[in-house]
Amino acid sequence: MFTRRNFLRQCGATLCFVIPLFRGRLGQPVLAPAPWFIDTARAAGLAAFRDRCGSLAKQYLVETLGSGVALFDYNQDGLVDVLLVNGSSFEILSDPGLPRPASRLFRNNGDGTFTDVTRESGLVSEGWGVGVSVADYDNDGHRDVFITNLGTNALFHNNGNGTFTNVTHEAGVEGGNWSTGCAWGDYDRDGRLDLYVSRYVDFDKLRTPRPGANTYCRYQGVPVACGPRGLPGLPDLLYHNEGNGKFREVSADIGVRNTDPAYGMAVTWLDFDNDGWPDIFVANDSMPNYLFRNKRNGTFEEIGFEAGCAVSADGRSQSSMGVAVGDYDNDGWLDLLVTNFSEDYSTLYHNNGGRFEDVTYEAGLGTATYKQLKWGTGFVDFDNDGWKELFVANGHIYPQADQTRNHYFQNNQLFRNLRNGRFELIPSSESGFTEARSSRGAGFGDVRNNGHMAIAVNNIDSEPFLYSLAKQPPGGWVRFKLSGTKCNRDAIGARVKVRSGNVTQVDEVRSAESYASCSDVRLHFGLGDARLIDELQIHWPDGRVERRSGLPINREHLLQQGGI
Amino acid sequence: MLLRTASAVWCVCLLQASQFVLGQTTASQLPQLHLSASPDNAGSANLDDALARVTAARQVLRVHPDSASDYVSLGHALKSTGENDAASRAFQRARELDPNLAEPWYQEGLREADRGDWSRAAENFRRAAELDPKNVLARLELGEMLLRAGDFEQATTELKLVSRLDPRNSGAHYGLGLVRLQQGDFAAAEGEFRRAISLRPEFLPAQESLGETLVREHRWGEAVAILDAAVASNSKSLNATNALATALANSGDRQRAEQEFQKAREIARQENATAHATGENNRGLELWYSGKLQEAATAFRSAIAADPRYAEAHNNLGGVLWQMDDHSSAGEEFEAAVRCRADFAQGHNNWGSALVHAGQIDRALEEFRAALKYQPGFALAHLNLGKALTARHEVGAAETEFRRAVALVPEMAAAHLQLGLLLISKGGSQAEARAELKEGLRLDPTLSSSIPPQYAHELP
Repeated sequence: MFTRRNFLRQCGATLCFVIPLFRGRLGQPVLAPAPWFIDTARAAGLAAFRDRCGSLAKQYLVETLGSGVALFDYNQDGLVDVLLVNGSSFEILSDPGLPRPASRLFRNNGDGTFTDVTRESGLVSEGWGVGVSVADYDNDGHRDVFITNLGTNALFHNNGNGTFTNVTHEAGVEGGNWSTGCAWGDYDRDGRLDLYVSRYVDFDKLRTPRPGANTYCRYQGVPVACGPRGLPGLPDLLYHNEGNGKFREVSADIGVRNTDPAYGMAVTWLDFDNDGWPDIFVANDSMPNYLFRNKRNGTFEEIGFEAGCAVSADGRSQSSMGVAVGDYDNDGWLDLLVTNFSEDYSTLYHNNGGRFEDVTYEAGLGTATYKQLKWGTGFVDFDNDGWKELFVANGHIYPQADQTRNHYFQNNQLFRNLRNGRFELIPSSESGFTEARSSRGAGFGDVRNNGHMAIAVNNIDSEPFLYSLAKQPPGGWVRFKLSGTKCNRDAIGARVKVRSGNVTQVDEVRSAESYASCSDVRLHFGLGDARLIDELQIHWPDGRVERRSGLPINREHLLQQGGI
Repeated sequence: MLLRTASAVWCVCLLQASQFVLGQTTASQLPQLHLSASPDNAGSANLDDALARVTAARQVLRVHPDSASDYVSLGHALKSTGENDAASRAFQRARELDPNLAEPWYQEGLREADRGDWSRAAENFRRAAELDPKNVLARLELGEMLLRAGDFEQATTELKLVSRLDPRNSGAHYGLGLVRLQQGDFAAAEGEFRRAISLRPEFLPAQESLGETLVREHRWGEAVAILDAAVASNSKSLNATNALATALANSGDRQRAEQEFQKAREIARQENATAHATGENNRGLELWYSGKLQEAATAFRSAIAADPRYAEAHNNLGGVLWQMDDHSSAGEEFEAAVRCRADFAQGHNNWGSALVHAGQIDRALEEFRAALKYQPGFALAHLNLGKALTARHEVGAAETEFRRAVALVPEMAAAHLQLGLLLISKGGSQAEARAELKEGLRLDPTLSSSIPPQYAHELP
């Protein structure tokens, strides 16, 4: 049967004419809409990277999690570079003679292409990598890289000359066992960035049951890798930055260890209650999520239930993977989108003045996100209309899902912000996300410095995607690069409020979100028809507030603390 | 002599390793939907009626061995005794004999659904519905499977059809309410949940979903009323407790809200502890199956440390210790198992067996009876009770129990043997006695060594 839907599928991502069963006003053939994005990974040179994550049969959970991606400027040339974290395999870990599937750093050449600079940069991470967070932890003006692993984690200090040095042991941030998410933030506002590391399962291959061994090892009746339920969880770690290149693990002292060991996945810092102090959200797999409220005295209190974001509105501990932070309805409060396992929805927690409410169904995200297994995610204004879209990377963890009513390879999704609190799924043919893979981490950034936000996606056992906008977004834009002088140099935790016309937007500088990933630290705002920034407010992490007005648009502004 | 006969076979009457209990997972995604009002596999209150049906069905099948409908009857009769595996085999045979019979497909669907294989379950329910278009149960289950898998439009179609066929079907309205809820149509969802509750006032999941819908609609006062009742009915419901706390917080009752949030946190913590304990219990079983007794015991102890009231782990630890000949410690674990869960039939059976080993027949009788109180179709407990009664010289009662065991599981060699020995010793029908002995030894020739020498001449 010839239907429009089938026809669009045949067209794929290319522009093509629809059979003119009906015509436009002027009698012209009706065009199928051009896709928002095209995958430029191959043309950009990023397809030289191929993720490796255990066996293709996925006998163990560690083989299923995949890895993240970081978008950051490692060499201070003003261009966003791409770091793709790589996994490994049991075979490789046990045989030093086998080649190591290292993480790869790609330098942005400024012309839409990238060059692999892993070896010369010294950022050689050969562990079984999962997550990444980038920040200038020693305030020397150069951004450093932390990578979580199965095993010892890795901290790479940026030497400021295009090279890195592994300083994990000197810094005291080895962690151990199985770390997943990581994020930098300055919880005590001492101007030095601290580090939160979420951990997953206390993994012991020999103690892990075989696929199908029990109910925790089956998916819809099909034998699959066991866990995480039924396996022991691990406590998360919070490292205080001591200021001399060393860190001290303070989890037990400041309230982070008061919670049960969980299956921690994504972690992000955000000021959810607008009190000027950074709080921590941890997406937990199969357990209630944690929200650590900063008590402003160097300690935290876990208030996930009280704040309404521990479980879904129907009280289920969801299997959470990733988290997006953003004020999607422009009401001045940062909301959360938590991505979850398949046969469950991604949960949109609207921030009602410091208390979250699960508004997934009201927002139209209930049925549209139900079947997919969701990972990397972000609220990003791709069309520059002043309202953030929602991107979600999808892909099942079990190849055996193909034996059920679900699928291992899944299409990524883009949701249009309808500006009324609701989202609308953009069909794959229009979003351009036509190739299904099993995606994991996703990071966002303006890789061409032209106001077009791109998406880098790490795909398990595969090449990455680099989704680049296929057409000029209709709206204007502005980008801010913040530099702290009294607070941390990267201004991680700074809040920027932008008013243009009737729309006021807020966002914060973050070192990590999505799943195991880290986005361009520069803040991008779409401005729609606005010609000017009417008012700009910057709430620096140390509590200072600065204001400006009348800023021009369609450019990047460097905002140095105290220099405005 | 009879006592010796009885005790000679005690060693086989503890549950075998493969019969010990795997922990059950809690649903990590959708909650249990419970669209069906009452599962048809509930244990029969009247065991003798059920056994009579099993016997009758077997007799009919001897005459009509190719009758699919009689295999269906046998399957239902076996199910009513709790012998689900045997029932499943009967339904499977019925399907082979007549693929156009709807009921066996429906039953296979139920089995697959229990295993969590929604896809296969849906296929079987669909087949049943195609063969019998007015089969409300099959369509209802099909609707649930489609709903779970996220095929909302198809689920709606099926559930609406159920509603048309059976306007008083509460499960269909509940399922339709869940679909509407997912779609964000709260008014329609509320209507469906209220209709389901009006048809089945005790329908707790529908009450919880109604409460949740009211919370989503910010109708805090109404939500508190509904959820208070739901929590009173099930104090361990995380969703009802969390929704109640949310409603209380928003209606201004901060103090109670905090209490309920704390309860929700505790429920979640307990769920997690249970999951961890279940994992350790399952690991212990795997080790046990592979013959690593010491490691298995360690895993079961770890499960108990995570959840001290985990009856199955105590029971399994007892089983391993028994196999390691530490009968005293094993008995303590069996006793702990039934203290943790009074209705744990397997625990009662094993604790009874340990008591017999310790020579405490009277207390053992109580435990076997307790096992049968909670699981009337538990063939092994009937066998053990029969043997304990034999030891107490209650021959008539013992014979009844042996006959029940044989009727429930005709493949149970020890039951045939015990019945045969009892019939011989009481001077009953010798032909029947010999037939039972013969059947017992046919099923398990190794049991011949447990026959007392004075009965050797009776052996075939």
